[in-house]
Amino acid sequence: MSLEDRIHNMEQCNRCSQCKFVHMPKSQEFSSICPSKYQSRFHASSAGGQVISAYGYHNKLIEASPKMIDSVFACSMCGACETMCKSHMGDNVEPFDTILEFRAQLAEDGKVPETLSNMVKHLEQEGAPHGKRDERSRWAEGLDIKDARKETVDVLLHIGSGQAYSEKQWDNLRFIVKLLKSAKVDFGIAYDSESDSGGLAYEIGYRSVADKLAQEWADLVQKSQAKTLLAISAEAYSAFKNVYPRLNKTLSSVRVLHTTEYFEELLQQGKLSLGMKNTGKVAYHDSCRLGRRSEEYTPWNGEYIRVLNTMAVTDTPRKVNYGNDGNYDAPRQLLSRVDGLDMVELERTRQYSFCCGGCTGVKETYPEMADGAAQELLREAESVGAEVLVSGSSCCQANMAAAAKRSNSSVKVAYLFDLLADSIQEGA
Amino acid sequence: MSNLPPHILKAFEAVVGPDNVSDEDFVVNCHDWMGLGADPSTRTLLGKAPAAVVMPGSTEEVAGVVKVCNQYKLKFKAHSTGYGNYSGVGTKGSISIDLCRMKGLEIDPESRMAIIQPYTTAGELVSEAHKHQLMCHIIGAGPIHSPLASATSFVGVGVAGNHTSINSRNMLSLEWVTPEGEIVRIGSSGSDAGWFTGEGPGPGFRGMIRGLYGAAGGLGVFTKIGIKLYPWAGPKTLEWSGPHPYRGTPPPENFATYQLDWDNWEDATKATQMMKNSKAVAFINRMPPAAVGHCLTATNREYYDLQRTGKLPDIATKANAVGWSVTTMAWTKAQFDWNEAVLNKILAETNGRKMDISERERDILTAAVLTSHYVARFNRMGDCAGVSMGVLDSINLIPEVVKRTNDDIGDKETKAGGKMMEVDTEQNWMWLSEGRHFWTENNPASTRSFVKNIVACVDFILSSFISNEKKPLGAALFVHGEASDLFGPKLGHPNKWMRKVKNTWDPNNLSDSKHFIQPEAAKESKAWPIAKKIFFHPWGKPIFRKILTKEFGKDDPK
Repeated sequence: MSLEDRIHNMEQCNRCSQCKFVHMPKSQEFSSICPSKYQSRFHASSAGGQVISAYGYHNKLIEASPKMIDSVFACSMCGACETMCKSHMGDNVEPFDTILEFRAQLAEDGKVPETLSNMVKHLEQEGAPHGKRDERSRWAEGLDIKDARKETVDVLLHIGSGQAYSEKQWDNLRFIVKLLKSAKVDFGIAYDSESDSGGLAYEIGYRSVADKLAQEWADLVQKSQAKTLLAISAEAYSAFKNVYPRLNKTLSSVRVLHTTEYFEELLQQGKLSLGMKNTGKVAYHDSCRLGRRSEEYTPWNGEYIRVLNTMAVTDTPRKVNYGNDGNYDAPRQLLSRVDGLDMVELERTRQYSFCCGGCTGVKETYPEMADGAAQELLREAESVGAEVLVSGSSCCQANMAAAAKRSNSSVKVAYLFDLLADSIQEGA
Repeated sequence: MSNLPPHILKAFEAVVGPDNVSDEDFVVNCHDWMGLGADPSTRTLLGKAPAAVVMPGSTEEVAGVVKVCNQYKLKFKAHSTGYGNYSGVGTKGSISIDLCRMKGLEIDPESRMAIIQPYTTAGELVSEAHKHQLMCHIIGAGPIHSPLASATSFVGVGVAGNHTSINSRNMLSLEWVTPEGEIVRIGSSGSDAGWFTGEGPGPGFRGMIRGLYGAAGGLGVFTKIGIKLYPWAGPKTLEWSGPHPYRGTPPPENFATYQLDWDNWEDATKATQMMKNSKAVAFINRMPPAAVGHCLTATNREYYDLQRTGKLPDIATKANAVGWSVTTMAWTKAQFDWNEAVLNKILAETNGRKMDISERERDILTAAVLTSHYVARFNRMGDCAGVSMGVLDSINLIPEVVKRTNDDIGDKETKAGGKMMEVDTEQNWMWLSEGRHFWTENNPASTRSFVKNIVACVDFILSSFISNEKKPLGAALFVHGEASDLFGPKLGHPNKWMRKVKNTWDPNNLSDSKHFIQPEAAKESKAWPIAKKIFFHPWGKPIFRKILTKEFGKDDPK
């Protein structure tokens, strides 16, 4: 796939602007779906605008000015645009795929913001955008976790760079380990051999780095003989399901689950139970990586042909992603099992969720963008009377919690497993 | 980067702030993209990008921007949600005044109206209106269009029109920044008396600046309007069913949706009159069968597989060639029952019937009628669109309009020289409006990728104008821009009146008038009476098609 291969799809964009708006909003206040356009306001920062920029750049009609580069990369790649575009245009346009190719071209041309390119260099050298490789498993010191490189395990945990290097998140990781042990799960980790999934490098546009990281991890997974790959990070979960197929990396020997799905299974099997928790009103935010971006991607190498004199159709059938098969239910089921937990829904949920803006290096490169999107979500939570905004993604939680602190929001932001920490119990 | 001198950019920045001005190529190109067929071309970037995009946040800032344009003699054009860039800047180097910061929306439930700014979308307006048991008119473009733009600057016709009229008539008082930068309030707001009427006690020239067709950006910038809302018997928030993008709206309590069918348009027209007179049916809409098929399917491949294997539901085939999608709306069960009884009686008396539809099909049709959400799926059929004459007139004309369309299509379906869409080439979208009126337009799907197809479509569109000129079928709209001088003289001379208005209010010709009217008629329009006789004579047609083929083929479409 290349930008040239996307020409047909780019030319199908009719600039309807559905990529900017929720499919039938419930209110004007929360009708936006694109964090980039919501804040920068220029059409250029929407998916439709990026498609036009990609078209102009590919055809050498425009140059990659610093502002254009910022406009392209101040996007968290949440995929909402693609889901909304398909409200009308089916697989004709698929702006997200064009944006991926646009970024890859810009990366090849050396037109990536320095903060991001430095993150990718670090990924290449240390297997993580921040931190040293030999410090990746410091969080696990003293926990006596099986080393999946040396022993076979049923469940292989992928921690993810965000949590592995953030001391603030270590209690959550240790809690997850405690739960797995309580449920007598045979699990292990790859210690310092774990690398970033490769999803971040792929989304920034560095294909070869992404490929290398993904291959390393896929090999490690295969060698571990694990039956389940358990992703703690929503970003890695999304990468395994949605990016690896794009890189032709297979994880077919394992089931890929996110911790929310796996613990829901354990609860269903009676290996854990949930007790009482008095939290006040809780709203669950569908992280894009856990939701629409975790839908399994199926590669397709066909072509578009014209039929009936006008219509472009794929020459062979293909599976089209609509964002419906993301991990939406497991986190809700987990929360609904807690006695006394009063859940409310946000206006924008599931595949129509508004992204917090923290992913794909946006928080590091354009902190004001990440903050603006998170503030919008806090307002949305307030509007439905939520006292706690819960996320199944530690990245989203960290971004939204920081935003809540900055704006002194009345809404408390919690990581789902943190919220459940004193509620989950051993056995049924 | 544009060639706009820095001091002019600074002047705009002084009005709206530096973050709200850009002359970057990647920004201005977005206002040059041909999303729909207003400017038929084989290209997607038209090569007439604005010099800068400026985003004012208030009426005063709009006036300030327009004054800067006047100071430096720069053409400008307002841009609201920019649907399809349908009325994008028509002149390279103009200023695109992007109104996306102006999202004001206030519902006045007592007066059944809203006061809105340009970037309020119809989806937002209807969602907020529902909370007050009201609804707005939504044009065919769907919920992401700007009702202010459709009310001030375009025709404003749409699916729900039988209940919600058309936006050209829904507009009440308005706030206008003239082409010279003066802020004028027309109608009641001109006397600080609210937004409830577009006529006095303040200045009452609403009709002059919007007419029937709309100002199309050629007469300054409209910044706020009062707009009529209509009663809504449904819930405060619409319920949705089915997975995305097959989501539909189950008919709310005391609503019912049907696909009705008749053997011929004469019977259907008689039934339509009866439905109108009885008021038993609130929403009456006709999508051509292929469009229904696109509404029901998520991708072209899905549609095509069903089409070629004969598995499309009847409502997406020629079995539904003559009919309406209708939704009844009632506030009580008794009224609902009455609606049902009356509708059944009308069908019995006109040889009509309710087609079998599944629950999913019903819900999607309901969503299409109540929110206009899936009309835009018609854009999947091709990659550019043109619109034929467009008729807003008496229901009695329906049979003749359909016949005329088929006559205008003529040989394009099968013979050399053209290839229109092979399915349901007659693409008359129709919906009723208030009183005895209906609206129809024919949108032949077309593609830049198949030159013969786009040539056939352009040929058809021009033929429809010419046949309407010879034998007028009601008030023909879409006679605007360059077409106004070609077809205006035989259609009541709207071009003369448009030009008088234009030249009076915009003596410097700065409000980009590509889609309204130019201050002077183009030379081509003088040659047109002879040219059309040659090119649309049976002997001349092949030459005309060759010219079009050369024109559309020159950019080597893929």
